[in-house]
Amino acid sequence: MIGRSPWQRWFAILLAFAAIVAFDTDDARAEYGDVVINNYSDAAGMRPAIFPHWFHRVRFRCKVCHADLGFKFKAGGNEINMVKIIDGQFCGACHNGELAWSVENCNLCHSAKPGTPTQVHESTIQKLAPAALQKK
Amino acid sequence: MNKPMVLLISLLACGGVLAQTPPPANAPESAASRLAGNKIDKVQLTSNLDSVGKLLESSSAARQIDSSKAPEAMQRRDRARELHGAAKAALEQGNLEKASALLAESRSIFFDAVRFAAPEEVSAKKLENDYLLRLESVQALLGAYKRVSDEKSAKGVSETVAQIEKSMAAAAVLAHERKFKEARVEIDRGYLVAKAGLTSLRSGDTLVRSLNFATKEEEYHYEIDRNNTHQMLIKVLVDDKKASGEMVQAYLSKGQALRIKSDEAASRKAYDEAVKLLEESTAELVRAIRNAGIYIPG
Amino acid sequence: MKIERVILPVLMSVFFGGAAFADAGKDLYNKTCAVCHAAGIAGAPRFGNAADWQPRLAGGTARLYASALKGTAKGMPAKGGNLTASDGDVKAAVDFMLASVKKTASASPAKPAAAPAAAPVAAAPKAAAAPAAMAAAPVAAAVAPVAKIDATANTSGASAADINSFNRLLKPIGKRNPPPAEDGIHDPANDGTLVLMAPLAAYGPLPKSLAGNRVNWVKAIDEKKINPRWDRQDANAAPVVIDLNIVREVKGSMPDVVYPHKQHTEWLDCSNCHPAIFVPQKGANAISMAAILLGEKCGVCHGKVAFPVSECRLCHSKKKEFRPAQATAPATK
Repeated sequence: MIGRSPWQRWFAILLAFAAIVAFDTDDARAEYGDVVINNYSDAAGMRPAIFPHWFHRVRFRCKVCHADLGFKFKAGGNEINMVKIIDGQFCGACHNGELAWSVENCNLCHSAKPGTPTQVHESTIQKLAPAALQKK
Repeated sequence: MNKPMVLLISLLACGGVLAQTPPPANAPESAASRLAGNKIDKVQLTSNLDSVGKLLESSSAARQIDSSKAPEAMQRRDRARELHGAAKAALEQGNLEKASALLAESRSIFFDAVRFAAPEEVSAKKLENDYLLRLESVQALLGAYKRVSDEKSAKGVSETVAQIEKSMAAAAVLAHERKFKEARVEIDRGYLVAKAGLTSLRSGDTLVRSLNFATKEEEYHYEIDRNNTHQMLIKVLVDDKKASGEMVQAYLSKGQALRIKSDEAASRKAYDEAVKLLEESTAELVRAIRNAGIYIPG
Repeated sequence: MKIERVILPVLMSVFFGGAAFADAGKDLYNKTCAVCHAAGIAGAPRFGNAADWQPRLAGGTARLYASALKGTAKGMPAKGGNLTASDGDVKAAVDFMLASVKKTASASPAKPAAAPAAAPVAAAPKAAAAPAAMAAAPVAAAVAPVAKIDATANTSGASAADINSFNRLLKPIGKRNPPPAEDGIHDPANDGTLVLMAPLAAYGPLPKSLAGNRVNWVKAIDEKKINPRWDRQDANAAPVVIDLNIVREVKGSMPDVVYPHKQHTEWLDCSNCHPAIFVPQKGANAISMAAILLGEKCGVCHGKVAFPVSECRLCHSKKKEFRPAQATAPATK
């Protein structure tokens, strides 16, 4: 193979790593950073909800949701349900018809294929070890 | 509630609903406005009807209404059920426009019902949690502030510290009375002071966390963490099929053997030797991972 | 490996593909336009759907060219957001789309997923082509005979793209930032999914990067292309930024890491990281690449929402000085 010098080998490894990290897992090719939340959706018979980070970070800095509104950095770790949202917590703090469209638009959030597990789409760990994640 | 009141309330709600959904005409374009502007599709409407049915009967919100037993909430929910039934009937008759409008109304009234169902218990837990997290942050920043101001012999430190501590104390009192919303507001004040203080002290600095460890023992702890995290990586990345490969097994066992030797050296306080063995062990673990097909940087 | 994915779309294009139009138009369509025009995102007239195009054709082709080149108020971005495309190519793409509706009984709109756009392999490592090239050679040979089957010019774009699709590790351009209806996790049978904005529609003016969303978010704020709110309600609140660099030396040959508070505090609040993820004290945090890959420490965000860790040099940015008397690790390979 190549590798006349350690530097070339290093470079090759780095690029291979970069390629690995860009690995296209079979079907799912959603936008990086999309969070699928499926704590209660499947049981309730609704499509799981998808939160697209990209759309929101164009409009709000991380602090607004993660410091001011109390969202934890954990997909599925906030135990969000409709009661809390309607009460104005979490998503409901903005999706109330004022800052953003009202949460009565069910299908705009509940838009994932039924059965999609809770995940941060295209996260490193998902790409490196999808099998391991299923076990978890 | 008697019938005329019910009628009046539903009329008002109707008016409210028609203004609420779809979004007002002069609202900027959004997914919701596009959704509202779509042609009504029978299949989608049927599935939406289904979803709203679930919302009314089996969702967390429905359960909340049931458990709260608040009359306004129950009564609105009943109204929502009626509208839902009417929407279903309209759909069966083929009147899609009417069905869609009734469905939207039903949804809206139900959401109103939830707001009447006293969700204070639901939000209380979150408010408490938010307050505690913020308290932790203030404590960490205060500690950092004290350390940095010592290091820099800064001025005006004691006033700042006093202000922060006063805020924390006031917040603690409120928290004790379970008034977490107010406690959070109070602690935020202290937080902002700490933030401003640190920013003014530290802005423009560059701190170097160098590898010149104070003692070999410190370096040993650094290396142990590296070794542990690589072992965690192996558990996650190298699934059983890959781990059964000969080469992978060879590297894994070598890595683990070296780690055992290193632990033994550390117990003798021979940290120089322990560190060296740990570095080799981690290198073997990295080789194992790479042989399993996952190229991680070493 | 995924030979079916190569042969089938090629054969399908032969079967269903029609007249041979300018490659440039078709290529640009696959690369840029299909994002919205294949599924009809945000009201875009769908490829092959005569009903959608009918009212637009009435205005004449010149008007359509103008819409495509300059954009429209209804949501069409200028040149579809691909400002590097030439005017001629854009017009050719419009022609390509118009041709699809003038034919009768054309097959269902060619989904970009089935025929990934021609992706110049430029994105693939240019320098270290050695390992990739060796793998490429035998597969390219396998694909070449297939490519000969389709004689018509319009499929050459498809087969070139399919050649690249053998490289499962590299996404061709047509598959990057797919719109919600095609991204594999959104349910396309849901009416809500179809009205959601496609990422590429928003990314047009933003500075690009090589990984993650493929947007350089830090630069986007610096260049004032976006101005996300610091406060939920107050659009004018200014962020509290601290300019503090933390340099972490690393063992081995990688350059040292420089962690810049400045770029981070443009987005984040102190409490986001301190103390739950990082203790604000020198020497108190043990960070290793393995931990980051596992999603801890820096990996809480990087590799999930912020740029992924394949971008080594963004963090490992400070070259080491030569330290001959360094007693620590021999350089790891």
